[in-house]
Amino acid sequence: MAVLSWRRKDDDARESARAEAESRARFEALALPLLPSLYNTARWLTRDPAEAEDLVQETMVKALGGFAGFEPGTNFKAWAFRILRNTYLTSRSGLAARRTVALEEELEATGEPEAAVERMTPELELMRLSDRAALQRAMDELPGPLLEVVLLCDVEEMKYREIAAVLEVPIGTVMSRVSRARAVLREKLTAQGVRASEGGPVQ
Amino acid sequence: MSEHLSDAMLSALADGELAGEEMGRVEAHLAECPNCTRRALSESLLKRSVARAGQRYAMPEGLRERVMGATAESRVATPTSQNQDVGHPAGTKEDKYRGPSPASRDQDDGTR
Repeated sequence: MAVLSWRRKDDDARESARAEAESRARFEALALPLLPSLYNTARWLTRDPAEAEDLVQETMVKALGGFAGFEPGTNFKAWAFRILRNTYLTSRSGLAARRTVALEEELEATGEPEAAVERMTPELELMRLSDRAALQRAMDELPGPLLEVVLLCDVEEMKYREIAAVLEVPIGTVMSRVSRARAVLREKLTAQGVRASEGGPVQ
Repeated sequence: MSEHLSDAMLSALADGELAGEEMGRVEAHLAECPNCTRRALSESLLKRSVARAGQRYAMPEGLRERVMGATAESRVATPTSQNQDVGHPAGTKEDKYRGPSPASRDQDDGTR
């Protein structure tokens, strides 16, 4: 009797070890290809290489821990980015950024961006946009809620529906933030462009 | 001439988020409005430039190994030990837990 129950326990353990190994392999197949994207996003958000690495690692550990709750066939990338973002927001620099960065009201309060700023001439715009460093500077100056939305939309090529799932906001909010983020980027590029054309320092 | 395109509409157009009737209206307007056409091109150009400029930071060597090491130490959790940060993106959870609709419940007697 004792021998039998030992054997059964042994089989159970083997079975559950095998199930866990399979689950882990499935997780790695989905998660590891996302690491470069997650790191790039983490680095933009944290602005610090060491912190970005920690954030990616913590995200992956949490994702693995919650993988049993992930439904196969649903969007793993949106799921992983949502964990990354939530982890960032509760990190020290994420909390600091939330305190200093404009909230939704402030973002809306800046008014009509297109009316306020004359559009660049097409020539100037083309020149500014081909200047990768200038655009990166402009992106660096974006408030967090606008930066994250352009990273997800343009860099990660997510649909509004997926972005809404990552940010846990309605699709309409995604649309207005994307639009607002681009307007702010244009304003910043225009300001840089004017300074550059006046011969002043671009910085 | 039909109404000019809003900024949100231009974004949605550049992002490929318009379809059907909405797309038809936008195309009809663009056909007769050079100014909005220029804005639409500018929007796409900005989007593509941001996509390129945003690919800024290469993953450091060793991060993959570091992550694999960290996850190897932790177990694949069972559903009862989930972290609260981890959940389904909006939409998937509802799909899973949505009960039978009133219509399907009404049919239960007949189909079983």
